[in-house]
Order: sequence, then structure tokens, then C-alpha cells
Amino acid sequence: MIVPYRDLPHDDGGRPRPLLDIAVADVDDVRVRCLVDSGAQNTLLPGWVADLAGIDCRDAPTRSLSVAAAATTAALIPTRLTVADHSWEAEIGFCDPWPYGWGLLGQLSFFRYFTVSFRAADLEFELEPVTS
Amino acid sequence: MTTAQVAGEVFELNPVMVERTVLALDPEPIREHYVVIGGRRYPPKQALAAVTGLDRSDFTTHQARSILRRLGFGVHRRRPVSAPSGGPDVPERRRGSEAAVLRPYVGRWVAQDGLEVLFDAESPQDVVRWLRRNGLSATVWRVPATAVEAGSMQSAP
Repeated sequence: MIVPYRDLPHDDGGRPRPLLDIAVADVDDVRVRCLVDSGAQNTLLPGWVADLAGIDCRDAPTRSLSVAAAATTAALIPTRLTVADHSWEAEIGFCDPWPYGWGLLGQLSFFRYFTVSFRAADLEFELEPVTS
Repeated sequence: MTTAQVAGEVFELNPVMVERTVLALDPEPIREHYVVIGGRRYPPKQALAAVTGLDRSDFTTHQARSILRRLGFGVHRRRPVSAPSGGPDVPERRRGSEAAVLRPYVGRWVAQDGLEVLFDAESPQDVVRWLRRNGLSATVWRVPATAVEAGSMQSAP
């Protein structure tokens, strides 16, 4: 699956970003935009996404993290994610507060399941699900 | 002040009154035509019905478009747009077009389908409520207002 980078309306030149729309749990009418972030360890989503998906974070184990130089708490919950027609289940950190308007797809719960090839010169990336 | 006759009734309308009335409403989904009021897109019949109190079956889209245009609002036809997701390489689609579409929504939560913004609001919950009320599906996210919000700490001043 080849995904073009997406343009952002920035005055600083609007560098296109590798953004990917994912479906969370059984929610099929709302997709959540995420940055494909090879520098992120965890896959983190804003807390409102857990509410949207009916995921109860109250008894989940939590981890304190720093995101964008701000402290947040991630409730870690195994969750099924879907991209196009490919689904996988992995531990997702639902964070509150959350500084971004999108989620972060990181090493543990995203790159573990895909071979990702960034082709920045062509402003696109390619996803290949890991078969084993 | 613009005088408009609709369904046998005469209305005295002005842009300020129209804007105040219509902006209190959530826009309904756009089918083909829309009017831009206060930076948001509304179906022309929704806007005219709101300001006149008439039933939408009392007038046509053409009448609504004509009256709203005379009041100085931009009236447009929705253009089919495609999402930048795979498919044939279309460089111009990638560079600038999506940024231009998103520019009015900087800092806002949006429901985006392909290159089209269906709805915008202050919170993701409001956007999700609107999608479900109208039986639509979309990607929900907030258009970053700054480079820092976009996760680019290196480009922050």
C-alpha cells in the first residue's frame, strides 16, 4: 500500500507529512489520523478515541510519558487497529492530555507489524504487512 | 438591505442578520451546492430556510442561491475530489491542494473525507456527533495551527 505524504497548511513551508488514517476497535464510521513516527517507541492515541471506541481506560495499567515536552499519562490497552483491509491487535496508549490533533504510530505497535519504506524524495511511504 | 420575494412573501434581508442566524446552526451535509457564510459551508436551502422561517419545500435551490448571492455570499458548486491515497501519481494533487483546502480550518477539529472537509468544530466530540447525526463517515483530526502542533519541534522558533 503506497500512501502519499499529506500537505499541511503551514506558513513555514508546509512540509508534507507521512500521515495515515486508521480505524480503532469496531468503529467504522470514524477514522483517526496518525503520524507514522519511526522515532516514537509507543503507539499513542488521544484519550477521546478511547471514549469513541467504548474502551474503558479506568482499570488499565498506566505509564507516564513525555510527549512534545509535556507530561501525559497513557492507559495501555490491547486494541485492534485497521488500515485499509489489514487489521492487527497491539497495545495502544490512550493519552490524556494529548498535545496533537493526531495520534502517533510507533515502533512497538505499528512498525512491529509493517515493513515501512519512506520515500521522502517522492513524498510517499509504502506499507507492507509483516506476515510472521 | 436586500428585498427578496419567496413563496409569495416579501423578506427584507441583510448580510449581518443572515450571518448571525446561520452561524448559530451546524451545517448540514453538502450535496451539490453550498454557500459560504462566516467561513463555513452551508446548503443554500438550509441557510435561506433559517433566515426566512419558510419550509424548504417552499423554494428551490436556485432561488436560495440567487438570493444569497445578491446578499454578497459566495455560492459554489461542490466539486468531486479524490483522496491522496495510492493510485496513479498526480504530483499537483499532492503539493499545495490539500494545504489550501485545510487552511481555513487551522486549529480546528475537522471531519475530512478525501480532500473535502465535511464539518469543523471546537472539539472532536462535536465532530463525531455531527458525523453520526448525519450518517456519514470521515477521518477526524485537528488541523495543526503551528509547526510545534504538527510535531515538528525542529522548525519551532
